[in-house]
Amino acid sequence: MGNSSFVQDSMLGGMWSESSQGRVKDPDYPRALAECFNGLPIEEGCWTRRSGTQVGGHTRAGAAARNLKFAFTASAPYNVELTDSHLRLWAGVNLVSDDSAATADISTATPAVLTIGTSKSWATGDHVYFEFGDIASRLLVPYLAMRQFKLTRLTGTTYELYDPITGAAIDGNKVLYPASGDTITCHRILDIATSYTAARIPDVRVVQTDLQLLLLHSAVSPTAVTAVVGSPFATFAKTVPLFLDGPYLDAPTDGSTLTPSAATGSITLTASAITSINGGAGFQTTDIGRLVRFYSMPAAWASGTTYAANQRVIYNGVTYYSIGGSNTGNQPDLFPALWSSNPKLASWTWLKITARSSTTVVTATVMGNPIPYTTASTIWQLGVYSDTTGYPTNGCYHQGRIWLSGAIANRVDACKVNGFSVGSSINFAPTDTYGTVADNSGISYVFNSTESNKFLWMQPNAQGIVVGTEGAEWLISAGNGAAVITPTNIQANPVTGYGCANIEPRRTGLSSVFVQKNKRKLLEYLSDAFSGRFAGPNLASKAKSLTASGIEELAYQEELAPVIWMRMGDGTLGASTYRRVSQFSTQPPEFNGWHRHELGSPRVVESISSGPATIAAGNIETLSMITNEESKGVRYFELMRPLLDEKDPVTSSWYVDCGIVPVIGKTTTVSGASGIRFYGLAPLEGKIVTAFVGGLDCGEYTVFEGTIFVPYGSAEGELTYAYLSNLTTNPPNGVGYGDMQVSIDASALRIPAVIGFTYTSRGQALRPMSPDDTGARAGPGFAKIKRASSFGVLLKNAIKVQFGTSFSRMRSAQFRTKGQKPYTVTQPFSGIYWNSVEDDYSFDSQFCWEVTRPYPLSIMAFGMFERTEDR
Amino acid sequence: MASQNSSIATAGGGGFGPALSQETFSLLGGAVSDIFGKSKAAATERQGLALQAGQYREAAAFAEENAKYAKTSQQIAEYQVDRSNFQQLGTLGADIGGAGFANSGTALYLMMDSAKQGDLARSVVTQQGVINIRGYEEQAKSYRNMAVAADMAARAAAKKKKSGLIGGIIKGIAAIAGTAVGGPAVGAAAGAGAGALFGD
Repeated sequence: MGNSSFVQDSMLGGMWSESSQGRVKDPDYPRALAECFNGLPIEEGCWTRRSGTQVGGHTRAGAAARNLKFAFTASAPYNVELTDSHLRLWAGVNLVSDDSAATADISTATPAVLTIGTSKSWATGDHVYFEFGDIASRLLVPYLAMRQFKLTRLTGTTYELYDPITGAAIDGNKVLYPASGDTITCHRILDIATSYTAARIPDVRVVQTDLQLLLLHSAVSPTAVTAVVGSPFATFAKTVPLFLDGPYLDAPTDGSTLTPSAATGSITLTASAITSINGGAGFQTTDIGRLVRFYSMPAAWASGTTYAANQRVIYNGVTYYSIGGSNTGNQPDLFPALWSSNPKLASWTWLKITARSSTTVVTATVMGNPIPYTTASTIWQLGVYSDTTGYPTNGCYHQGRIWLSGAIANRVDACKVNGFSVGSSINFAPTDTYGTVADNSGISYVFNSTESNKFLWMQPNAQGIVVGTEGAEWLISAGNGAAVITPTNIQANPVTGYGCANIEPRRTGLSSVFVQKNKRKLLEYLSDAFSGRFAGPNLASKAKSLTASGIEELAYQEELAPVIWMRMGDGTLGASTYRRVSQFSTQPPEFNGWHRHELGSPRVVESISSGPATIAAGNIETLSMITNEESKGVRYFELMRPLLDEKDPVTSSWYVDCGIVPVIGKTTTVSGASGIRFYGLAPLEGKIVTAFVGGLDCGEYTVFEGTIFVPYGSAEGELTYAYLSNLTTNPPNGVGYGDMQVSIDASALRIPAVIGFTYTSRGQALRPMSPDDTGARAGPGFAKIKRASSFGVLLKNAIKVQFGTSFSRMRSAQFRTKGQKPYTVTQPFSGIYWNSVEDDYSFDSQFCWEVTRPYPLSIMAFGMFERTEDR
Repeated sequence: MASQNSSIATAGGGGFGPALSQETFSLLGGAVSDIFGKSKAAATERQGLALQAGQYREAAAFAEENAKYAKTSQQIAEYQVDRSNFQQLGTLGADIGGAGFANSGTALYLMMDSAKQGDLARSVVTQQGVINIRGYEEQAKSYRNMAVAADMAARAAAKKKKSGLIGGIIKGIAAIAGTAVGGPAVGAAAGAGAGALFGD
C-alpha cells in the first residue's frame, strides 16, 4: 500500500463527460474536471466562480425577445431587444430613450395621471421610465425605480400610467409623488416598430456595417437600424434601404419578351408569356416592390424595311444606325457606307414594380436610364428578392461589399464595392449600362453543388468567406492568387463536409466556431497555416454530455476570460474557456475547458450575445441575455457581471443572479428590529431573494412592493450600523463602490449592496490515476482501492466554502488565523488551506468543492493525501 | 483569356498581304504609258493603242483576281474570329465552372459581354473584307473601262482620227483609274475606325 500526495495546478482541461473520463492517458487529463458548475477555468489556470447577472429590466411588455449586439463603438455599445414587432435598445442596463421631460406630478388617482412640464407628442401605448436627479428624489419616490410604465395620452402634458406587462392601472397612492423637492425626469423609451413578429424573431440575423445594423429575415425586406453617435444615447432610426439595380434572377431562355410602354416614369411592362415569371404563375401582387432589369435594343434588321437616316437596328448581335435615308435591303455588315455600328445603341436599365394588373402586366417605375426603345426585348430579369421569392436570411460584410444569401439555394449576392449608403441604399448593379462587368460590379453566383441547400451563414476571414450549409462548408475566395474578390476571379469550393446548424458562428482569436447540424458538436474552424486546408475539430468531444439538449446560440467574449458561451436547448448555458495560439490545425487549442451554468433565479436563458458593455468599472466584454421567468412568462434583459479581479475587494463581489442594486435604503424599524429597507426591487416582486449588503451575506427575504427589510445583526451579527459606517468612510482604494453603491438615508451611509438570487458553484476533480498521483507502485492507480485522508488547496478570497470527496458529504472549511482565531464572514481567506477529508476506500477519491452563498472563490491548485492499495 | 483588342487589331490593320499590291498596278499603268510613248516611233499609233488596251485588260484581270482573293481572305478572317469567339466563350464557361459556379448570375453577364465583343469583332472583319473586295472590283472596272477606251482610240486612229484626241481620252480615263485604285487606302481607314470603335 503506497502513500502519495498530488497537486492539480490547472483546471483548464475543463469538465469532461463521464464517457471521456476513461481517457487517463490524454495529456489534458491532469488538468480536467469531473464537474465544473457555475464556475470556470480562466487563462491563468485557476477555477473561479462565475459572476452573477444584473437585470436591466423586463423586455417590452415582458414579451419574448431576441438579444442582438450593436456595438458600433467600444465606448458606446448597445444591445438590440427584438420583441413582437418592436425594437428597443439597451445601453448597459439602461433603456435608450428618444425624448424626455421633467416630471411635474403623478396624481394619487387610479390610474395615476402623470403630468410633465413640457407638452409632448407622446402617444397612447408609448412606454416610459423615470430617472432620479438626486438622492433626495430617490428617497421621495422610490416606487418609480426599476419600473416601466405604459401611457394613455390625455393631453400633451398629461398621461395615464399603466403596468406594461399586466395592463393594470397604476395606483397613484402607491407612488406617493411629493408636492415638491424632487427632480425626476420622465424618459420615453425608444421603440421602433418593425415587421419582425414573434414567430419571425428567432430567425433574424444581422450584418453590421459601421453605424448600420442590417436586419435580415426571409419574410421581411432587409431593414436597417442606423445610429448617430450622441449623448447620453446615440440616436437611432429605422429605414428600409433601397436595393439599387439588383440582384436579379437570370433572364428567361424561352424567348418570352417584355415590352415597355414608355421610356421613363411610371410605365407598363407587358410580358408575352408567364412561363418565366414566378415559376409559370405570372406576376403576383407580392411582386410589388420587386426590381426588373431590362435590356433595351433596337428591332432586328429586316431586308424588306426601308430605314431612315439614324434609324437603328440590330443584326448578328451588333447594333447599327442607318447613315442615310431610303436604306432598303442593304445588310448592315455588308454595307459599311450605309450603316455604322455603335455598341452603345443597346443598353440596360432597371425598374421597380409598383402595381400588378394581371399575370402578364405590371406597372413599374423606371429607376435607371430612360429606356431607349419601347420595343419588346427577350433579355430581361426579375429581382431576386420580393414578397414572392423571399428575402436574404443571412449575410456578412467583407472587402467593402455586403454579401447576402439564403433566399435561393446555393446562391450568393454581393453589392458593389462600397456600394451602400448607410440606411438608404445598397447598390447591386451587376454591369454598367452597356453590359460591361467591372471589378467593382455587383456579384451574383450560384454554386455548383451536388446538393441544393440554402446558405445558413457566412463568416469572413483572411482566406475569404466561409459559407455554411446543412451539407458542407464552402469557401468563397479570390482565384489566381488575388487578394480581392471580383466578379471575374471569384471562386467557391466546398472545403469540408461537416454540415452546419442554422446558428450564427462566432469569430474567436484565430478561428471561428460553429455548431454542427445536429447541434451536439461545436466545431473549431480554421485554415491550417501550412497546408491551407480547413479543418473543424470538435471542441465538445470530451464534454458531449453538456450538449445533450443541443446548442442553440453562440457568443464569444475575449475578456476578462476568453469564453465561448452557448445557449442550450434546455435554457441553461454551456461554455468553453478557449484559446488557440497555433495556426496548425493538427495542434489542439492551448486550452478548451468546458463548464456549465444555470441561473440561480427561476429563469431560463432564451437569447444571448456578447460584446462590449459599459457596466461595472468600465468598458468590458460581457454576456448579455434575455431570460424568461417561465411561471409568469415575463422576459428580462440581463448582463453577466465581470469576473472578480484578483485585486478587487470582496465588497465588489456580485454572486447573485438577476441582481439589482437598490435605488435607495432607509433606516427603519420593523417589529422592533432596526435595519434598512431597500427599495427599487420591482423586477423581483414576490420572490425570495438574497441580500448581499456591505460584502455580507445577509440571508433571504421576500420582496414586497419592491422592497425588502434587512435587520441589523444579520450575517452572523456582522451587519451593524458601525460596520456600514466604516465602509462608508473607508471605501476600498478610496474610490467608493461604483455602480454597486447604495445611499442610505440621504447618503448618511454609502455602501455596496446587491439583491438577487444566490446560486451554487462547484467543481470536482477526476480520479487520480498516475502512479505519482496515487502512490501505486505497480503501474497506474486504475482500479485500485484508495482513500484520501486530507487535502490541501490554494485559495483566493474564500468565504463559506465546503470541501470533500463527494457532494453528499461536504465539510465547511474552518479558516483560522495563525493564532487559531476563526475568520469572520468579513474576512476572505487567501492562501493554502489544509484539512482532513471524509473519504471511504473506493476507486474514486475525487476532490470536490462547493459554494452556495454569494461569496467569491478562486482555486488555484489542490491536492490530496491518499493511500492506494496495489494489487 | 485572350485580348479582344489584339484580334481586332489584326483584323482591322493587317490587310491582306499576299494580294497584288497597289504598286503593281501603278507599274502596270506606267508601263502602258511607256509603251505608248516609246513605241510611237517604232509602231503605228493604232498598234500602240491596241497594245495599251491589252495591258489594261490584263490589269483588270489582276484586280478581279485580287477581289476574289480578298473575298477568300474575308471568309477566312471571319472564320478565325468566330473560332476565337467560340474559344473565348468556352474558356470563360470553363473558368466559371472550374471556379465552382453555374452558368447563372454574373457568369451570364460575362458571357453576354464576351459574345457582344465577339460579334463586334466579326462585324469589323466583315466590313473590312467588303471594303477591300469592292476596292478591287472598282479597280477592275476602271481598267476595263480604260481598255475599252484604248480600243476605241485604236479604232479611231485607224480611221485617222487625231491622235491628240486619243491621248486626251486615255489621260482622262487614267485619271479615273487613279481614283479607283484608292480602295485599299479606304480599307485601312476603315480598319483604324474599327479600332477606335473598340477603344471606346
